[in-house]
Amino acid sequence: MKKKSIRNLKMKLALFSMMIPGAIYLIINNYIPMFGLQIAFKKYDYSKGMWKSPWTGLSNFTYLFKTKDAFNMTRNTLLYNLAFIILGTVFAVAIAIMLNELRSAKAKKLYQVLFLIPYLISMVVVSYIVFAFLSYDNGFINNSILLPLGAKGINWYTEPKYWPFILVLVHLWKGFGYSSIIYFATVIGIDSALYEAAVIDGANSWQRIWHVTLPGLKTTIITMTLLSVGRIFYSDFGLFYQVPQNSGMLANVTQTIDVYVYKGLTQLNDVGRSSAAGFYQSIVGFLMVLLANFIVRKIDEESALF
Amino acid sequence: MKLKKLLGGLLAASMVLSLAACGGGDGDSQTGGNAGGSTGGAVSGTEAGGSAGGAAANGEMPVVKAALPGVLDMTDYPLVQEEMNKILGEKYGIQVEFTFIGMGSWQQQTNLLLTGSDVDMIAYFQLPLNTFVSNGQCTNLDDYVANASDEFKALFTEEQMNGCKINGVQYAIPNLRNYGNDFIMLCDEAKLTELGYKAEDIKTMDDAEEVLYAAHEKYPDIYTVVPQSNATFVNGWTWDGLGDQNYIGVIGNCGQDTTVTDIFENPDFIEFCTRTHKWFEDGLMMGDALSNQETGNVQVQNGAAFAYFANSSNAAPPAGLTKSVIVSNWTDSTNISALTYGINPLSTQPDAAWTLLEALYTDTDLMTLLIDGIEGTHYVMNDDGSCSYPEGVTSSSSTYGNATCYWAMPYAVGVPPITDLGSPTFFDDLVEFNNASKVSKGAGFVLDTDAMGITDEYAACLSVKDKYYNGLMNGILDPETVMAQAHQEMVDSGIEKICEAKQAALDELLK
Repeated sequence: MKKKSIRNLKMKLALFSMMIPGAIYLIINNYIPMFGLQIAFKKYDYSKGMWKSPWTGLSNFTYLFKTKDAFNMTRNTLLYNLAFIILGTVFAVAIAIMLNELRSAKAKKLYQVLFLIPYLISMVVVSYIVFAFLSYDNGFINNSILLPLGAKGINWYTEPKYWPFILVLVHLWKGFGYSSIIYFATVIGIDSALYEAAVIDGANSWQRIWHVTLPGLKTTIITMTLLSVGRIFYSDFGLFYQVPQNSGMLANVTQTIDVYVYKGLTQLNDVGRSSAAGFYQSIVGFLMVLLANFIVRKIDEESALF
Repeated sequence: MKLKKLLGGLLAASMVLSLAACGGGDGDSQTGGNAGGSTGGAVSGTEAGGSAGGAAANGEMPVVKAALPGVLDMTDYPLVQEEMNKILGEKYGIQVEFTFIGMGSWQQQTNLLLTGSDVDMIAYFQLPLNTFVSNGQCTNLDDYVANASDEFKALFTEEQMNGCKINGVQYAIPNLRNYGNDFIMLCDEAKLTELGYKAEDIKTMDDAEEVLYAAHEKYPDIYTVVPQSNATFVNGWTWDGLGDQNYIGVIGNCGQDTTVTDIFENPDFIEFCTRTHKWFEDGLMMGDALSNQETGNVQVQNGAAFAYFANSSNAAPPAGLTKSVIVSNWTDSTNISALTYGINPLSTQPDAAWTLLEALYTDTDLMTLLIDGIEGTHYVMNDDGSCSYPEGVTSSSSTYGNATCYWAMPYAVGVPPITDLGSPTFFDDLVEFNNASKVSKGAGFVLDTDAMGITDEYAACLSVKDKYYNGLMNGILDPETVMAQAHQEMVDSGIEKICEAKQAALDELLK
């Protein structure tokens, strides 16, 4: 009995030792910096440093909630992310399934590469691609579509009403390639015997997708969604700051928490308040993961992450 | 159970390991110097092997690390540093190690530098001096200034020195720039002549408007007016933000009014934006101004635009452009402390840092080296006392392009000005320009939002102001409808409380 457990331990030791590099990385990168969370509750003084700066209680947090923008930016952050999660998933899964239905291997590879290219472009470059379309004086939409049709050019960067659509479109265009490849990898991992069985049972293409492919994708979808839900309080800074070219007029619909904090802090240079915003984001993000996981557990226990 | 213990043990072990690794890292950054400065766009002083060797040979001479804004290409700075160290070692018993940091990364990099002792002397720049003081990033210089040489004390007027005091303490020394600003219109010289106008005849906004409409008529295919840079139509005008370049609560009339109001109900501002909106409607303005990434200067020189408005010192306009003063020379409450020099409170050798700082304000040889570079290599002297780039070299191709960036360096009177600046007596003229400038009644105003209890309101108002200010200035938004809406949003964000607090502080100041 004892011998067995020692041998068992030895075997596991080898496994654990493989974990060390990753664990060290996590500790250095993710755990040690947590000491810095205290800055959120301090009036940071450079000459005194992190440990000796005076405590200020919750006063660093008040600006987040006192301002009229607080509601706006929280709403923007949540709703955009929600739209991204739902539309992004639907779009990416659809693309993954379509890729799988393609017969030609060459076409499959070509499409994957084409889909992935937007994902690899920097947001700054994307912002100029968007600008090329939307510029008031020289943009494609104003000059090549609206003016020839006799319509008046639209000053896109001062009209908030269009931006929820523009931002969602840009996000989907940029991100779908990456996530569809993840789903595609799962799809091709589905046991082909299941499809054969379905064909024998007389299932058509739609039925095969509905009854075989989608159930096979379920776990991946749930995992990916849970991961995104955990980041629902974070926003893609590049998307919301670079793409609208930081146009003040659009603030109501483009200001997310990250953008607000960035703008406030480059202008106010207050380390305490930026930490407070980061702290608030991570706490809420953490609760969202717990909540989402709880819901998943209620519906389908096996799919829950923990 | 065992599994958990093992896991715990592993975690603890890796914790110890990584702590040790971090400790080692800290040690490295202390001795290596410039750990913060060597990342990104900065050129770090440690590459200058010559000076380090010199310091070692000279025994215990302290090496002062100085961080300065670097605008153009500064690849030859180690040579200059070496030359300066010869003088510094001989006359002052110190050595210097420069770090030039580009404007774009200045804020982030200096913020990091100021968390440790890797910099001794530093420029305070791009944020209000008060912010640096309240963050504990400035040293009290009262004693140093009191014991400074008479030569140093004579450099600035009392008013100018007071501009860098916060709560009565001298935290920094102003550098030599134009504290006052003319607000000018710059036009394409050839086109202006063709239109039959003379730059010196344009004195008011009405004159300017006449010229602009004429230009629009004749050159309909180019922009008539473009922003000064990026989305900023013009960097200031006649309103003064009272210790605040964000203009949250202003006084108008070149700082001569004494009633603090919201920028969106300031008559000067409303008049300005009404005019620019008319220009916009008539097709004179740039429709993409809010996403513009270029300077007006470049656009006019490229022939893509006819004119732009700007703030300006007494310097000559850029080549091919004319300059017409619309609002004459006044100093707003933040100008004097907009770029200052001081000492990092974490510096281990503040005395040596002060020695360097004082030398860079008073020793003409050092100042000339720092600004113009090495004679023969980076500049050649002219007979009239000015200097030029060596043949075939321009400000942008020079390997030590600091001569036109005197405005970011500590002091320059006595230094031969580069011919680009327009006059052999440029620096003396600059001092005169500053002394003749009409000073805002808000001069010396310190905006301490924490002490005034308006930090949250200020942050909220700032985001409202950001929303409308540039759009209105560039004429894209219609003031008729937007101005009232913007003002209402400011009121909702607490502008009234800010104005009250600023008014009280201003009244106190004017007593």
